[in-house]
Amino acid sequence: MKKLVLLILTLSMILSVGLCPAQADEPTKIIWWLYASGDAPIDTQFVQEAANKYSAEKIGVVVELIFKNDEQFGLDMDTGVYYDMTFTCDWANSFVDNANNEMFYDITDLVKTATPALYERIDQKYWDVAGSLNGKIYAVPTLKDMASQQFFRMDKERYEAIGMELPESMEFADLEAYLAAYKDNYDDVYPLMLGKAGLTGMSNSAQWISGSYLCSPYHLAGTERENQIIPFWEDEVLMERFRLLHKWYGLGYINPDAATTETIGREIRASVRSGSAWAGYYSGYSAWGGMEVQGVSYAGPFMSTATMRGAMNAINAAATEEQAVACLKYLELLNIDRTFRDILRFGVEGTHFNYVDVDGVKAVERTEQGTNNWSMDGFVTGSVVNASVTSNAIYDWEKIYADYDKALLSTLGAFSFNKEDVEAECAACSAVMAKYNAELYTGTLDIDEMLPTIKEELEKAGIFDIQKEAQRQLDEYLGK
Amino acid sequence: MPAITKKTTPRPTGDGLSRYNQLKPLTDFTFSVLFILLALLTFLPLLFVFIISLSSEATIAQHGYSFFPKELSLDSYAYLWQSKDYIGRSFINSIGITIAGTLLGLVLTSTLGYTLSRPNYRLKRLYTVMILVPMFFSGGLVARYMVNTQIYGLKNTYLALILPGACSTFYVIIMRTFFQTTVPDSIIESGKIDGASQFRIFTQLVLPISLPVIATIGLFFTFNYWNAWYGAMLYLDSNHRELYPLQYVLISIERNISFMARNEEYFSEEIIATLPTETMRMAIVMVVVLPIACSYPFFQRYFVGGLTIGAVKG
Amino acid sequence: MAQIPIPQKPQVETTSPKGDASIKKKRRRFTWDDLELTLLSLPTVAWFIAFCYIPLFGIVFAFKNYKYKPGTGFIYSLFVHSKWVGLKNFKFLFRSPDIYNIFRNTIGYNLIFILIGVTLPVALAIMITQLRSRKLAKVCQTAVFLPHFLSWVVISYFVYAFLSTDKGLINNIIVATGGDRIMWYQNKSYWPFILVFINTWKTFGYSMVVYMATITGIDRSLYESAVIDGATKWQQCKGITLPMLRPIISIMFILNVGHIFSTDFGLFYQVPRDSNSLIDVTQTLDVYVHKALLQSNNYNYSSAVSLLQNTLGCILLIAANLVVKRIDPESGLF
Repeated sequence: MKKLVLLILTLSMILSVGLCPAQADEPTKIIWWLYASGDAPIDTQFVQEAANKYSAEKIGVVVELIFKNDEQFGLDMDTGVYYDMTFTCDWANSFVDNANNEMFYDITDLVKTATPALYERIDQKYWDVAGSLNGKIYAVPTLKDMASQQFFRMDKERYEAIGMELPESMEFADLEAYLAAYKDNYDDVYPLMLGKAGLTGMSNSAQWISGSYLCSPYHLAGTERENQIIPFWEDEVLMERFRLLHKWYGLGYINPDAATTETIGREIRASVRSGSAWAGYYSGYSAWGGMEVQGVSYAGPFMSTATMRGAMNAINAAATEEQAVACLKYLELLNIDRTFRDILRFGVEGTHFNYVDVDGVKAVERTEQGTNNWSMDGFVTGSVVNASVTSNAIYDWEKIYADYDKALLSTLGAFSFNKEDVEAECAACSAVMAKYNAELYTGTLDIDEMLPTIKEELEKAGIFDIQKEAQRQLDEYLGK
Repeated sequence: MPAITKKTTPRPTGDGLSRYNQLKPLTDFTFSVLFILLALLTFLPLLFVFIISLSSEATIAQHGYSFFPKELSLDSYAYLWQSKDYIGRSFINSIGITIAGTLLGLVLTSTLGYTLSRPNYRLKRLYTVMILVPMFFSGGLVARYMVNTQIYGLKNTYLALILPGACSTFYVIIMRTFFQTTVPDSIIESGKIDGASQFRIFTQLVLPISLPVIATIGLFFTFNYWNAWYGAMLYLDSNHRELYPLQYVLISIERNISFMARNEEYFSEEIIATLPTETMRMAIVMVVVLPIACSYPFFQRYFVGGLTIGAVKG
Repeated sequence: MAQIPIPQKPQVETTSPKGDASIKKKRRRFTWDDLELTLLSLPTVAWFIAFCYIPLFGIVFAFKNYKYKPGTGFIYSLFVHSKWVGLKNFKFLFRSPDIYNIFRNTIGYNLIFILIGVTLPVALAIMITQLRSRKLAKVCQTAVFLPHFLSWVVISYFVYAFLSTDKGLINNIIVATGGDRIMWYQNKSYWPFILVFINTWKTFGYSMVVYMATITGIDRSLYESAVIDGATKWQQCKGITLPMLRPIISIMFILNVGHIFSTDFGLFYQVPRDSNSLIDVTQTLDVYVHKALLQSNNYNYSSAVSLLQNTLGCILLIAANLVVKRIDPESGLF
């Protein structure tokens, strides 16, 4: 009797496994690591559920969202915690380092065969320059602002009140006249309030190969020094800007303790702040200083690996092909389906946001819950271009991308410097530059006076070895 | 057990013979003034932090920090209050973790400290070396992380926040030294004469007269656990936020704000508009410090006064 | 050898262990006592093994170029896949032109902190236990602990409130009394004092508590007997309190010497707000490593530096222990 029961049990178990519908009906689950400098948004679970419902139906893939910060990314990547898809870029979870170490899945062929729509959607130059390394595609670029154009965000109200009209663009040196005028008329705040990072973006007129000491300036393209990697003091444009800053510091236009100030708070009515976006972005009311601003462009737009690698998503090299395809399909859906994209971008319709119509454009207006519980930068969960625009910031992405055709494309192509053999020198040089960066970029330091000292220290730290190695790699890359 | 008169209630000074053993009034006065100054020196900054947390962001931007801000505002606390469900849960987590961790820590530290204080213990040398080595040589963050998550499976558990910090060589040594110097041999001997096991001697004879050191180490553990957030950052994923301790929640909020402030030109206006930064940081400090400062008196009564163990003398 | 350090207790019988011969006998056999003690401390020993010794293999990071290989385990990646690079990971340290300064600052500041640490908190602890007003003592005990809670970032903010060139409280006072504004963050001569002061302010409460606990554990009858013998307060202190404190003081001293190559990062990086002009007097080893590794999250390098700090520290600790034991054989860590 017992044996019969045992036999029946065993048989039924086998049968149930056999009869159980294959896992193909269950949606594939992928783990997606996203970037958050602090904590994950409060309504993550809620939004995740809504997104999963939609994506399970459309493509049979569901996602588990985990937000990580810099330390967590480093530790988890290093110890091999499993993930399917992860955020990667040039300022967090370094794309170049990880791709060089073969941490990412090679999707060169897979993306063309499994998700051709995704492949079509993203322009070839972004695949080539941003998502590739050594000719193979390792990451899917996220479409957002792909070129870097540098702006001064200036206090429109006050400048116009003293008769200084703000043009669309000007040269860096032209700022001086404005600062002088401001100083004569207003004394409650320094004309150029800077934090220790200075005018961020000021150095974006060059492509930085290593740290803040080796670069390849865009303006050298077409000259005989094209494709040369040079130490920063040979970049005349940058040096001129340092000299100007120091001059302005001496004239009292810059706050004296800039080099030790963390940031210029929101409450301070700084007449000039830096900005990095596209033409027309900075205009209108700004919460920074509570005033009307206008963006005045002084450099760019430039495009290079640095500007295009602002945000990407890569797949784990240890993932199976099935999982990789699921990830690609998910990204494809994000890039093609606007409704789906909006879920991840803005939350659940009705709870976190509502669709409104602004002059014929379908825009989004966040609710209070949306602003508090599900808000992060656009690029974190996918392409900004494919999401709806918010009602207070209607951007014409078509036009912006069309303008990118006019951008100066770096001649370095997809070159990325592999630091492996000169890592010690890089660390030492970084330490030297860390000493001087704050004072250089805030004008506290007289560059001509300090240059011999800085040069000497960098030389001892090994900058010329790094330069040689980088140039060698670049020549090899270009020679191909 | 023999009739050992163990007096455990702290006797206040100014009682009996001690009345004649007090400081001269002048000396006492000088000392008192000194300590009042020290207390001010250490208390004022906290008061300062409190005042800043109540200042408005605008006045900080205009005039910097001041003891007498021109404008007050509860904005920073209001912002924290918005997340009160979230913070409330983490508060309870922290209390639980702190209590569990402190108790565990005291057990681990005192048992080993006592063992090492016994002069005739056979493995004394070995154990002393054993606890000293980790003081210097550590596997490092990555190895510890890997062992804790992949071998012990502690990721996303409360244990990950309690176990790794549950003992420390430094505290064991303090306990050991205390047991060696202030617990007279006579107590141990009399216990042994009466056939008590070491365990019994430890719990019933030694511990009751060691309240000062237990309170001290207990205090240190309490502070460590209450203030700890790094472990939470390492071992808790963002999809397990019900496990978050208080400090980690607050630090995350602060980091988000700092990140946005530093990268402000890349962020869209909608998010930035309502965040207070400087005052927020100070409000967070207050929320963390107040509960723990209030717990201090609980430990304090064990520090004051003397204990008469003289009754045990042979 | 392993005796209880028995200080000069007047009129208390020195309870000596039961004769020399029996000690020797006891050490040879593993007694029942030993077994009980072993069992008693077993959980702690297990903890040490689990959380300190098993991860110890991570020391090899200092000598390898660690790269994780996806699809394999961590151990495989560490031991098989990553290359052995010997001492290469230490190279970056010595490429710095400031390396002499860095070591000088690290050791110099720590020496000062150690010296202050074995004198000031001890004196204060003794004094506070003598105060007549127990209420005042209680209040002060709570107060001196408060700086411990404030993180260095917060401390750097209100140091800034005091020392800011434009709006700082101190400059305002100076200007009000007719002086010139001092640019505190650009002037390095003040900073050694400022840093020592701030560090003492933050840490003295913590050590004081340890010493206070020891003092309150001292047998009151010792003092009573001393008073009967006519000892003054100072004599009591010299004859009873200090000797009883000697073991713990020397242990704190030795432990701190062992950490002489490590510094509190927050103090030397955040409080001076990372100002370049102050680098010569504020940059310690930890600060330098942080700056060097900001750009590249290079774990091999940071392990190498930790190993260096710890090894050197360990050597010094052993040396310090020997020195202390020479002076007073009963104090000492081991």
